[in-house]
Amino acid sequence: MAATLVGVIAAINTLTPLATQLINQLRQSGETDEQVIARARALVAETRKITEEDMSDKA
Amino acid sequence: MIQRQRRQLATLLLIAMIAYTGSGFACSSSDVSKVKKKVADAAAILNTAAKSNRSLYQSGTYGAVGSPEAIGKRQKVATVIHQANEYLSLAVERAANLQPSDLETGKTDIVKLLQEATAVLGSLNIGNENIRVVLQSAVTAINAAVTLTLAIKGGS
Repeated sequence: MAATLVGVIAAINTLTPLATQLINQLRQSGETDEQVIARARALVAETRKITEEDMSDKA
Repeated sequence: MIQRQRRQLATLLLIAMIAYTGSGFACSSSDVSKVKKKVADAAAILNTAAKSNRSLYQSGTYGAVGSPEAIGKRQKVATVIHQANEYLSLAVERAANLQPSDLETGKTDIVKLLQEATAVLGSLNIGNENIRVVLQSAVTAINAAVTLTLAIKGGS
């Protein structure tokens, strides 16, 4: 019984991130080219902001 | 009873893995769209690497938060990610202007930029296993995007 419970929990732990990623991929697969590029630009801008802050001397 | 449940779990996991693996190929789109998506995937990977660098600093993995040693490591990693991100930014703009008529040239330009990004990412070693794994994962994922981009054939 305990082994089954552990197995179920392990399966849920494995499947949840996979399901989330699958849903995200399916959602993104409906994007137009413009939306894909807009998302990529937003990611690049966010990465630039993070790295510029982290390149500074601030703690 | 337990064996049956295990078999069901294994089947469920197998279905999930097949669905996950296949999802990248499930939706048909133009080749130009596929290239744009690969570039966006690379941007997402690098964004995760930048966030991981910050998390590792904040969690004290680089040393005591606020110490010159920890800040120095965070800066070094941020610098290479920043440089790689600038190459990626150029790749995004190249992808934005990509047309079916210049797919092959565009693919070459984009692949070159992505390779520059991976070269920068692979050049750093600050002696920290966690960030080494993060950067190596980013390099591997961007290389996969390069391979997939190169595999896209024009014409559909």
